[in-house]
Amino acid sequence: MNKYYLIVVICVCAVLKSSAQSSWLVPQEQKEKLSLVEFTDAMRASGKEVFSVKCTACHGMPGEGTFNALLNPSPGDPASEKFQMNTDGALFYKISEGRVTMPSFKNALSKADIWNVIAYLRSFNPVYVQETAEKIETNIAPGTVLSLGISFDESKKAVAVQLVGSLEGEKNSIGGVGIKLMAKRYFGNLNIGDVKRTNKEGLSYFSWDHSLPGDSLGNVQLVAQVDQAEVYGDVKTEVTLPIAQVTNKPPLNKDRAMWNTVKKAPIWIIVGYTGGVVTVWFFIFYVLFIMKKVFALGKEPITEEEKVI
Amino acid sequence: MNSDQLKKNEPAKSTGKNSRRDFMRKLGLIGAAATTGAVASGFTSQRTPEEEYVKVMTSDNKLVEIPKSQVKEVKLDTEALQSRGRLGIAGKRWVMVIDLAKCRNARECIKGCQEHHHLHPYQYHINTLVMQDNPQSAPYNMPKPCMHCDNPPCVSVCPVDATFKRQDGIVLIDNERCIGCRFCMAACPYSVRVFNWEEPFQAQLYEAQPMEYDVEANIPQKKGTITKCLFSADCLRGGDLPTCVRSCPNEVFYFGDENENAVTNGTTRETVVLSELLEKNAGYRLMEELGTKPRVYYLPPKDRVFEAPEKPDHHS
Repeated sequence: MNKYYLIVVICVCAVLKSSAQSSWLVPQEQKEKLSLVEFTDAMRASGKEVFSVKCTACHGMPGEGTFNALLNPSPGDPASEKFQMNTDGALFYKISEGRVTMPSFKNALSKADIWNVIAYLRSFNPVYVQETAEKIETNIAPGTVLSLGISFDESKKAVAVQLVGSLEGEKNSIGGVGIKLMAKRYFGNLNIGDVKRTNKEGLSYFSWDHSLPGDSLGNVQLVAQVDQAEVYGDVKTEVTLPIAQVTNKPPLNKDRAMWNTVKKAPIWIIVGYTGGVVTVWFFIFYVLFIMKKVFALGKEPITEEEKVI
Repeated sequence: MNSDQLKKNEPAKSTGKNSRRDFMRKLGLIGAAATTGAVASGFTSQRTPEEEYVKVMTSDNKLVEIPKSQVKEVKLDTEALQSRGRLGIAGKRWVMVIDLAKCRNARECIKGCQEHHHLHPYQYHINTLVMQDNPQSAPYNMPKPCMHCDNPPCVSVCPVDATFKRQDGIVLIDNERCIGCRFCMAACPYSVRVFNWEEPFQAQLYEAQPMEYDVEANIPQKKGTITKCLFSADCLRGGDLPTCVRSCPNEVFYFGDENENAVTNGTTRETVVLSELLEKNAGYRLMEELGTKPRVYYLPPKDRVFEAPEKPDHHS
């Protein structure tokens, strides 16, 4: 009898394990993450807008079951019970990181946007009661105003980012805070290296090899940002430094080519075409001139001796 | 300055077709004069405290500051839109990268494009094809927009200079000049050009709300002319990614500036280094042997996250 129970227990464990593998594992600390503010109608409305643009293609309309069932793993209906079982933190992690067919929205959506989407999705759950997070403790004295400074350190061949906190007129360097350095590009910011923690002097160095293309003067716009915005607030600074590679490529329609405008056509086409036109007109005028000559000759009186009978 | 003084600046004959453009040019001149004057006299700026200044971009892409009281909203006419469209954006070389491993034929790019450019459901500026390179390999989906070649055969054959290549690499078509001869359709090795056989899809809308022809969006569409993929040139001007790139739910499209060596993914908005992306993933271009030098790169369909589509007819 005991043996029988053991087999049953092993089978149940195996089934549970396999189902656990197919589910999406979220780190415990991420699971417990909560929104700092209570969801409002404005957040839900804005979340609905984001959802209709970014999510409907796979997830369909919540509550209508119009998700794309052909995808593996299935996107599922956001209003379904299975979906709503996720904690707020788990939803945030899944939207932010993505997996397989679900894209990562870390860069595409702001953290506020992701919370708005979660607020919207929770409106389909009648039994949902929101918990909000308590303020996160840091080692920085309350009331400190954080500011960032970017400079280029010639000797270290690196971009130095300094984090300074000012409290009642007194300025202190702040260490141990993650800093992100980015270069502005036309459609988004390009990360330069990984997130670096500031040292005791409040400095973090990002090595720089001058290979990044800048504008025609070699200027590049750099953006430094504190990595954990939810803890330290949205601390950001921008600066333009002349440390990038000079990019001065000519316009793509500068050269003479078959496809270019008349003025920029290849010389042989211009010469050949003009020569052709001139030759044809010359021939036409030549024939007309000869005809005129013949006509004039015909008008001349002919003497009796010249007449051929 | 009040409005009377501004009126004096305008020549009496400026009521013609070009008046709006002249106005834009003048805004630029006022701004340039103000800034150079300030430099010459050694003063940074002499602003009256109650007057608010705003930054304005002139039609020749210069950023100037003018007093808020002088700002008049100017609607660009067709001619201004055409000259702007011919010029393109200075210092840019647009490039698109399509990751074939990610495409699952969601057709969102097509829908977004057709909506943006007012196309009939059967007209495609971008299409997704099912490809199979040989009987052994698995089929894959391939989105195919205009390649915006650096050596465009379609532009070479145009007898009326209706289709043209701009300095930023985009190949556009001016429907106001197009005579509908369809030489360009015959010349294009990628078959990306579309002919407007019928009245435009939104003809009724155009009647109700007449709109200026924008060569950068090809709207309103015109019967009897060619229409083609434009890399959403009107969006690029505003710093937005092209419509197809933004619409894709599967991270297929990257778009960016070759001069900046960076491309941005339309779904995740992650910006990556273009040369690294192409090197690491063995990026290639279509029909390289023709020498058309396309501006669209493809990444091969390896490590796919979606199931392969059904085999196309010719291999079954």
